[in-house]
Order: sequence, then C-alpha cells, then structure tokens
Amino acid sequence: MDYEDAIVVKNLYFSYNEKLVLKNINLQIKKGEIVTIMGENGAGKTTLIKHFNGLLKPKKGKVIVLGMDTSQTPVSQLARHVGMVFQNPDYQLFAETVEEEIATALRNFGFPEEKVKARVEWALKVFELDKYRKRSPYLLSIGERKRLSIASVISYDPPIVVLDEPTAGQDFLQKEKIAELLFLLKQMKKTIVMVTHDVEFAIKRSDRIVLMADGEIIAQGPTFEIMSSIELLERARLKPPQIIETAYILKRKKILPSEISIFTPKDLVEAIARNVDA
Amino acid sequence: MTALIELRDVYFTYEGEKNPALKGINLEIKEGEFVLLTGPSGCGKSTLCRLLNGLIPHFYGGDLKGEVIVDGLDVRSTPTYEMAKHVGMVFQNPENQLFNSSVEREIAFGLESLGFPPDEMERRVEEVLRAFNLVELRDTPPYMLSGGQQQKVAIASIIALRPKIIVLDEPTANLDPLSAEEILELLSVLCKDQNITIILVEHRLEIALKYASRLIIMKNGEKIADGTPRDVLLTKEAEIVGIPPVVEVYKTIRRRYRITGVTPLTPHDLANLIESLARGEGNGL
Amino acid sequence: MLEGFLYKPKESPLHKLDPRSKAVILVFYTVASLIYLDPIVLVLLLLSVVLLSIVGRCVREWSKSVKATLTFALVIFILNVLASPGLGYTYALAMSLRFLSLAAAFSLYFLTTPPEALALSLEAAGLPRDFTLMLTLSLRFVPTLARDLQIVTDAFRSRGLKLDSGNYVERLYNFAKLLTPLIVFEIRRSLMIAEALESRGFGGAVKPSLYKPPKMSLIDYMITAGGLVALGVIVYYHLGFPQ
Repeated sequence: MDYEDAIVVKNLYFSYNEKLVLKNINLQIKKGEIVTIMGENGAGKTTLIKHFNGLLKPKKGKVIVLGMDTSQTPVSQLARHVGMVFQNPDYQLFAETVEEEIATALRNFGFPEEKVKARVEWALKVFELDKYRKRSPYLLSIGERKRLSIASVISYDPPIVVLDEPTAGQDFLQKEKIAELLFLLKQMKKTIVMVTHDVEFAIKRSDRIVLMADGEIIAQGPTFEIMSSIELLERARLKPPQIIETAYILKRKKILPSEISIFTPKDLVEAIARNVDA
Repeated sequence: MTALIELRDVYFTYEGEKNPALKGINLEIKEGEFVLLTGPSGCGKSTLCRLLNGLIPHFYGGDLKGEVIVDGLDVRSTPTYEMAKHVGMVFQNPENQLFNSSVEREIAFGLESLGFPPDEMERRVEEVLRAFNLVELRDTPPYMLSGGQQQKVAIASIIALRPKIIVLDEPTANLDPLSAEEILELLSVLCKDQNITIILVEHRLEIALKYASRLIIMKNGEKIADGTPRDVLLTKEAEIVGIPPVVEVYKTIRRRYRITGVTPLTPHDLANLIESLARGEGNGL
Repeated sequence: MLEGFLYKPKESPLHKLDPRSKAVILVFYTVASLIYLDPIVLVLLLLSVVLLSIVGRCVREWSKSVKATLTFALVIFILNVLASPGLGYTYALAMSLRFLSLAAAFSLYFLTTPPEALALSLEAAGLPRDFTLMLTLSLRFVPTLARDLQIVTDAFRSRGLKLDSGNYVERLYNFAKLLTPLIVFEIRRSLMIAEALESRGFGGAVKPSLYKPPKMSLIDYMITAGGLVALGVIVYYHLGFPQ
C-alpha cells in the first residue's frame, strides 16, 4: 500500500434505495493536495465524500484512507483522521458555549484534558472566535457559525479535511475568509478535499479537479487542464469560469493565440496587451 | 410615472436590538424594473425585503419609522394577507415554503387562503401549471422534487395570485449554477413579458447581473450605491461585494485603452469588447 | 412493521372510497372489538378485515403489520393469564384478539388512505383550516425531518460521537445530544414556514376555500349509512338504551 496516498478509491459502487448512485469510482488523493470535486446537485459528490470517513460503506469496491480499509474500520476511528465539515453548520451546533463546541470532538476522541484546553485556545485564536468563547453558538452570525464548524473539526488536527460546499450562501468577504482558512490548512500540510459547484472559487484554490456527473467521474486532472475544457464543464453541467470562457471565445475568433494559457484576470490582461494593438 | 414602491426616510430596529437594521433608506422602484439587491451579510437587505410585503412590521414587530408605500398601500396599515395579493415573496430555502402534498395543491394554496371561488382557482392553477411546465409534476410531493424544481413551484404558487411585485431573498443559494440560471431566466421572462417588478437579493453577481436593470448595494443598514449595474460595478463601493472577473479585467484595460463604452457583464460582452478593440472599431460596445 | 401502516397507492375499491366513509367503518371496528368479549366474534371481525385487505389489494403489506403485532398480542395474552388467572384463557385470548383486530383495521385504513386526503376531507366536513393545516404540515414534513435526523447523525458521528458501539446507556446519552441541534433547527424551520405562510395570504379574515374538495360518492354515503346503522345496532344490543 502506497502511503503517499491519503485516500484511494478503487472501483467504488454505491446504491441507495436500490438505485445505483455511484458507479465505478476510481480516485487517488495524494497527501497535501487540494482536490476539488465538482458537479451539479445530485451528481453523487456528497455521497462520495461520505465514504471517506466511513459514514457510508461501499457496495462494491474499496475505499482506503491512510491505509485503513473503510469497510473494516468504524466511523469513530476514521473520523479521527478525516475531519468533515458539512454544508450547514446549524446541523451540528449543540453546545452551550463556543468553547464547549470546539472541545467536543477532542473529548470524543479521548484527548487528555490539558491537551483539550490547549487545542481549544489555539482554535479560538486562529479562527478569530476568541471574543465569543463563552457565547452560545446560536448567537453568532452565519459567517461566524461557519468558522466555528470548521474550527471544531480542525481542533483535533486531522490530517485530512473534507469540506462540503464551504462557500454556499457566503458573501464575498466571507468567501475570502474561507480562502484564507484553506491556505492555512495547506500550510499545515493537510490534505484537503472540497466539494463545490462554485467554479470561480475552485479555480483559484485547487491543485486538482474531479468532475462528476450521474454518479460517475467524467474527468480528473490538474485544475487548469480541467477548467479550460468548456466541453467537459458542460458535460458536468457547470458554467465555465468567466476568464476561461472569455479566453475561449477570443481564441475561437483568432483574436488570441490558442497556445497561451489564460487562467486569471491578470493573465487575460497581459494576453490582451501582447496580442491586441488598439 | 409614479413609483410602484416608495420608501422615505425608513429606519427600522428589530425588537430587543439596539442598532437599527435600516438607517435612513430612501428608495423608489418603478413598475417593470428588475432590481438586484446585494451587500455583505447583515447589511439589511433581508430586512428591506420583509418590509416590502408587510412581514415587517406585522410578523416581526420592532420599531419602524418613515414611510413605506407598496402598490399604493401603506405597509403599516395593510395586513400581510392583503399585501400577498400585490407582493409575492420567495425565500432561500425551498423546503420551508412548500406546505402541501402535491405541486397542484401548492399552487392552489394561496388562492384557497384568500378565498377564491373554486372555478377561478381551477382556471388559474391549470394556467400556471402549463406556463411553468409543471403539468407532468402536478401530483408530485415536494420532497421528491429537485431544489430547482422546488423553487420553480414556489414561484408558480405566487404567480397564481398575480402580484405586481415579486421579492426573492437569495432564492438560488442552495442551487447549482445551471439551476440558478434557469430560475433567473424564468424571472427575467416574467419581468419582460408580464411587466412584473422583480426585487432579487443575490450574492452570486456573475449569474444575476445580466438580468438586472438596476443594482443596489447596501452596507450596515444603509444604501451605498444605486444605479445601473454597469455604472455601479465601477464604483469603489462595489468592491465589498466582489466584482465579477470580467469587470475586473475591464477596469484594468479601460484605462490603458481609454475605453468609453459600457461595462461588460458577461464573458460574451467582454469578448466582443476586445474583438472591437482588435479590429480597431472604436473603443467599446 | 411500519410498512404496514404506510399508504401505498393502488387501484382498488377501498382506495377509491372517501376517507370519511372509511373512518366510520373504522369506528365501527373499534367499538365492536371493544364491546365483544367472545373470541369467536373477534376472530370473525379479524377475518372480515382479511377479506377487506383482499378487496384493497394490499394483503402483502397488511400481513406485515399483522405479523409485527402478533408478538404484542402474544405478550398481552401471557400478561393477562398471569395477571388475572381467575378470568381464564378465554378472556386472555379475547384481549389479544381485540388488540389484533384493532391493529389490523387501523393498518388497513392507513394503507388505503393517503394521509393528505384525510386532512382534506376533514376540512370539507367543516374542520377549520388552522387544524387541518397542522395535520397537513406534520405529514408533509415527515420525510424532511427524517432527512434532518440523518444529517445531524452524520455530523455528530463525524466528530467522534459513538452511536453504534458501547452499552445502551452510553448510546442513549449520545443520541440525546443529537436532539439539541435537531430541535433548534426545527424550531427555526417552523419560523421560516410561518413567514412563508403569511406571505402566501394565510391567516386572512376570509374563510379559506377548498380547491377540488373531495366528494362523497353514492357508495360512500351508503357505506357511511350502513356503518352508522351497524354501529347503532351493536351499541343498542350490547349496552342497551335507557328506557
């Protein structure tokens, strides 16, 4: 078993109510990567990631997380290594104070009390929730509750972090904050798996993209390769990022040469400067 | 033409709160406008929405100052069930606004609540089912519909009441981009074909901008920008809501190439602009 | 077991009947099974439900509920024998048969009646919308609540909460922790539903009209009349009327 891989998925099939919702999924996620799984609602993205901490077990095939076969390992053990942040934080908030909320996972996993205290302090500081430590989680704003849900998962330092639609319903400034948190996690050398249909966010923050449609992976590869293919994105029922689409149109009209890679607004501005005299 | 919606010096504070959620709002919206309302979390846009159909002050209480006139009615003295005939409201979570066991019954619900006679109800329900392509789904329970279909049913249920105004508070937040676009496209058609005034609260500007005739940005309970999308996006205030990438590119190159045309809102707009630059056809759309 | 009480749409004469006429028959069965202590009569009642389940084309689903309630019926039999030995086995048998025929009748009712139809027919009969809406909303949100519970459970298990191992006390205690976010969530949800209801014109001064109200057919009226008569007969003969 190659331990360079954080997660290995081999020929995974899963069905729900006698309907096949995941078909022949093959995936390898290396340690330290940021992989984003994309597709429309119902493509099977959330079903797939629930296999990573054992909430769902394969019908056929294998899911190996850090060398552990998920069909043979209880959720409580897998969850220790795979932190999962769900889309809506309100489904998990239950403690009386923000502090307690963050401490929960640590206590569940049997951390000694001094360690619990230390990690809670760390999480409160890093996620800027210090001033709310004694407040009820329900009294925080939506953005703060989101930060809290991420904090309560990162507090126990899992090597793999899975985020389900981290930017759903967030405003622009909140999204920037989440991007900062992702950068922090990357610096902590964590493996990050993100599920989102926010193409603009994904293109900026991912190393690799996995495209799903109808329960299958239709393409996977480096971010630029996948995101610049309009056809692939269309098959996954996603709108291409604006810069990619603009570049595509201009290349088709032969206004820009087709070889240059245009990814960010800056790329496009430079390409225009070099190829368009006005 | 007199405004369909008028807000004059509106201040509103929720019960138990110290800080007002709305501070000195002055606003006029004419019939047939498609208004995109945006701003950071907590800026007061949801509060403003609820003012328009009477949920504030009737459902939420609180301290309301100033004038709010919607379709000729003073919101303060008009009960919400009366306002429902003039203003329809669509909420973010589709699940929580579908109450019935089938699509057909859902569309009829508002009509039932307002005491419409049976034959008028049947006529309108059939009309709406056909207009929204929901005839085949008429007996389907809400939990079996996709998010996009649910929102479509919510909008259809409101259209059955034939309001002049529809207010939508982040209706596409839980939808994927293509479903979101379908909904926005639907709203745009309603606006153009039936002159229904649309007020849409949305964070995902890249999807919504091309449909709007007006962009209003709020911050901390105040209106900080108001105008056509193309104008407002170039202001400094727009930076807090995140400018779409094509506008970002435009802002950079317009200085360099001295472009004086209109702001592009979509990749096609921007591509056309650059094409006309390349072909030396002047500076802009 | 729950499957035996869940509505399944089928083409059968029972499915076509109005919920109100079926309710009258259900009341008859309830009263009859409470009045009669003779096991033979109770067996006959039970057999008639079997026949009806054939008419209703739901024998398979209906028999599932009966199989499940058989265990309870057995428990009732044993308890009665132990608790009141003087009354004999016949009495104990009657008690368990009573339970069986009640469960059987109710199961058949729910199998052949869409729950929403019940709320509608109650409203058609004159019950105010405020009450029927409670019924409609509860029913409509059952699948939603089930989904919410699943999500909350997933979220908690992902943070190490053990729900599938450990002794019963531990598991129960852990399960209780799920209730807090679930309850808060559902309260919030109900506020949002209330908002949406108000925005759709609910709560007005006018009495709400009913879209395509369920109509009682001739057969429904006959069955209702027959049921009421049968009810009257057995009550008269077995409880007597004050002269």
